[in-house]
Amino acid sequence: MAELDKQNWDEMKDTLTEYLEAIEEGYADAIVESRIIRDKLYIHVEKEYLDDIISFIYWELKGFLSSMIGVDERPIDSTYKLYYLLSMEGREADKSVKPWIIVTTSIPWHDTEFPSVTPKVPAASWYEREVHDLLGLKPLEHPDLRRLVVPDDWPEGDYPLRKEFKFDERPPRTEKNYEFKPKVESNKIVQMAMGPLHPMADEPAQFRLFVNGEEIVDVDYRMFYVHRGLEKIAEERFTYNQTSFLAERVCGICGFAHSISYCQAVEDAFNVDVPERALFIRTILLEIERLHSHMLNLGIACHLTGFDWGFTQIFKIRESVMKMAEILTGGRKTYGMAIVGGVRRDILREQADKVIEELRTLRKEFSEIWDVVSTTKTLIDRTEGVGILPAKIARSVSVVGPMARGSGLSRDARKDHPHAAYKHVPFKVQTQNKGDALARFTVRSGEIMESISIVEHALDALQSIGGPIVTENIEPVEYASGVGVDEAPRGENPHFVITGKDSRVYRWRVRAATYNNWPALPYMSRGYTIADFPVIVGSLDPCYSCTERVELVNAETGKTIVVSYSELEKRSIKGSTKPLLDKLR
Amino acid sequence: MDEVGKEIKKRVYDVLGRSVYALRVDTGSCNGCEIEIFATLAPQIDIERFGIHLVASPRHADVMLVTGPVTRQYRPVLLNIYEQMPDPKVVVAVGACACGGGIWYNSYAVEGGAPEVIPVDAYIPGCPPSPYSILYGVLVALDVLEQKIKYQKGSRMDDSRVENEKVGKVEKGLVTDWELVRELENICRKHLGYIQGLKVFHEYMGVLGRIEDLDELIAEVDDSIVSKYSDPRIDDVVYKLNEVVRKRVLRKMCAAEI
Amino acid sequence: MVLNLKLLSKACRSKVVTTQYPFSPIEVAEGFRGKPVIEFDKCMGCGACAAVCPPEAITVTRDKEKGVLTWRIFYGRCIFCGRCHEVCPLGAIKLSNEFELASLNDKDLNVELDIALAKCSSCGEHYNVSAIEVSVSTELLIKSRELSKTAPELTRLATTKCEKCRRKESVTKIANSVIPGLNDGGGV
Repeated sequence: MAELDKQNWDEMKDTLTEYLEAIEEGYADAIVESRIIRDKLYIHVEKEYLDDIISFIYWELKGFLSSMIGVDERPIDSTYKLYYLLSMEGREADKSVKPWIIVTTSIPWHDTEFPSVTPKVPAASWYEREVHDLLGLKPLEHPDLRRLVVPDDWPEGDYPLRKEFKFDERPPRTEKNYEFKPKVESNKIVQMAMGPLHPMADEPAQFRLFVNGEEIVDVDYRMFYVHRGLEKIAEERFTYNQTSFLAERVCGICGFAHSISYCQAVEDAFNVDVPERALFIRTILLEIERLHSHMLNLGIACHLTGFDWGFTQIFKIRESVMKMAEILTGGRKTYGMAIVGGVRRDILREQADKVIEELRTLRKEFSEIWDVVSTTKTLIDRTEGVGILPAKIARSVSVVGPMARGSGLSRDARKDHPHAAYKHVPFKVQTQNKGDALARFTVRSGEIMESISIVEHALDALQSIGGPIVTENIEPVEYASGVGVDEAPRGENPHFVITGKDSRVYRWRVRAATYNNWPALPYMSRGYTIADFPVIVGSLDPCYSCTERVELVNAETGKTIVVSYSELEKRSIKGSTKPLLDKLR
Repeated sequence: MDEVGKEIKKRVYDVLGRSVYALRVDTGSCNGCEIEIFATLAPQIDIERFGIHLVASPRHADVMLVTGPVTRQYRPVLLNIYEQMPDPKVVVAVGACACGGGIWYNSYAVEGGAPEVIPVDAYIPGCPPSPYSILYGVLVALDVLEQKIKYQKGSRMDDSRVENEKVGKVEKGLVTDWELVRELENICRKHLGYIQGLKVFHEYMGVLGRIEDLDELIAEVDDSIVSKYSDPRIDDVVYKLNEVVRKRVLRKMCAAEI
Repeated sequence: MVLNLKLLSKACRSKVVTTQYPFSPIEVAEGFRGKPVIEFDKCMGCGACAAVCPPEAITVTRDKEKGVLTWRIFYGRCIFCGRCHEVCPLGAIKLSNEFELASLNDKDLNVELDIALAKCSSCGEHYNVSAIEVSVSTELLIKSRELSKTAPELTRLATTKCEKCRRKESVTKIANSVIPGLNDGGGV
């Protein structure tokens, strides 16, 4: 991140050297080599010590697991590599800028097993499953090695991210094989195998709720119906600047945050300085995206708790945010503004004036509406004390965004890893302590008010900043790695890039914020009722259409019914699932 | 509301005599289109005033709004939902992914759009299409409104070069050197982006075309551009352009004298 | 049910905001990214737009036998990013304000333009560049080098040859300079 000044680099170097010494004290044999580049400490370790070192850094040195990337580097040095990206808290509690530790290990092409980190660090679970699916590397003693990402009918032995696999290959379909597993041990629960499924049978449920009466006993899920293979096509079909458009379409709500994070990763790899004006424009647009996303979530929250007045009012004022985006970028949702080295359009006075006008109205309207909504008994009853996520579990699973802040963890990438122009605009990180659904909604409403202030401040500052909006003459570097992180509406969004030849990436890893949050769902749902489930999921703020069907399983008898998720939402709105449960007895 | 508007309104009531039930099916999209479909429920667009309601079950639906490029994982699910819908049914592909596979149309995990899997009756392009586009598209699919877009085929086989002959020629004015013109354009693009930058660039070239002497430059620029926008950012860029022109013209004059 | 006075007061103050669309047209912001529109008379078939289009909605195909270059856009896959608008050297394609693009069949979502491929002045075969692009590039080359009156003819002669003939020419020239008298009467 080129915009940090020299003093910060020196401070970071000291911090990182301290970390390195702490690790060397315990594991000197394990370390093959280490180096410090800007705000990152790279440590290359022997495969056998992987789980011990990661666990040490995670728990003793208080790091957060931001991402884990598997790369097929056989064309370079005949090995696969794993990169564990850890965001450190910093040696002193009030050190505002947090450095990274990247632990890498080589996995030889002929021995593709490695010790799983998951038993010691639960946060690594999904990352290792993904590496197993897409690259064929096996984490030994992983508690749950079912398919995560590739489709159910994908043949064994075909690994999409291996370099010999062409991006548009279509291997033949096989029989589906996916099993849902109950985690609660009970001699009354029947182990239900779900496959092979005939395509004409009822489609596989995405959620499976194990219930005892009204109470949820356990939750299991099958995600990744949305796997589109974009990391692979970026390696083969897209140039650097085209990939930012691809990144924007990863998610329908935090698309711009993804494209900026990707650009930041490439800029980090090339060590490019982005002009100040572009940084402010990026900040403005990131905050506008946050506004519309949080409003969507709060509108849905009102809808799910049966308070449709709130839903309509919030969606009404949300339209003015979409209008602001259209004025500044030409599009309501996909902004198409991020390119490596800057932004594509400027903000002129005429546009800035219109936006400031809309913001003024927005602030007034939103405060009035939230005033009503947050004191409405129906909403409070349905969200207070519901879906509590204790801070300890939040920490062990590495949740991010409003989920983490609602449980008291003060993690916000805008403060931890300052990017764009966040160092120059004043704002407060919103936290709550209770960890229930209401806390998370309150965090989001607080962030809406902060975002409005940030945009106003940035538009004002922009008037006195001159210069270009894009850096020219960027020198591409081959096989350099870079990390870009920003705070999407749902949380921290790290992108990892290894640059390649011919103007394309060698490896690009997208880690959407919700990826880290989903594993917390079972912990948040156990002990609550089925009617609460949509509210709990709503407070997690996932992609709404990832959920299609839900299976309800009677934990006592094993009887199962399938309902549509919208059906469940309807019951949630009414506050009772009695008619559904009668069918389940 | 003018005559055309009144006519459309009458047609709406004629065709949509009863309610239409629409089912959203997301076959692996990024959810952008889904959220824009959601936004049609917002008061500003309010698709429900046409009697179009969103339902949860395929068995109740008349219209299927498909979004997403149909991921491999989702293909059997989509087929299943299509079979469950009772006839007559209308399938509308919403968004670039559903219409033709979108930006990842040839990826290994993607079928390539709704037409690859089920028959599609109407297409709504966009990424994502705005709620107004979606409203328009659904009304076209239901035969209430006429579609506006038509196939077009052009031909330049006779090698006509009327427009293209102007390329590279700056007829008159202070600056006729093509390379300087490109430099001015680059400065505009680098500072103002491709839309506003090109607009300002063409206006600046207009000014250059009207004058012969360097002394007239500043006054003419102030008159036509600076006072029109009254935006310090544009002033900043335009003064940079002035500097470049001034230096180059002076250099040329010196060279000519020598 | 407790009467929520704040809610009532807010509800009473809310106005009707539903727009009249589609009964009256709706305005979009300036710089809105709508349908890309190509001006046939300006396009030279260089393919810059096709090279940068992320979803490959714009394609340029060449049929050397018939001597036709076909430019085509499929709006169904267009993501309205504006990259084609950004890179077109002649300003032939621009994103307009149109957003009413729904169609009942996919053929109507296509626009095609046929441009003649250039013919080699040496061997007479068609080659991979459009005739218009060759002439535009030649004029620009001449203009930018500010060559004297006789040189433009030579430039034109050089740029209107296909890659095979040009290669043959260079090789012949090199061979002649190394082995004098090799190809008497050959050369340019």
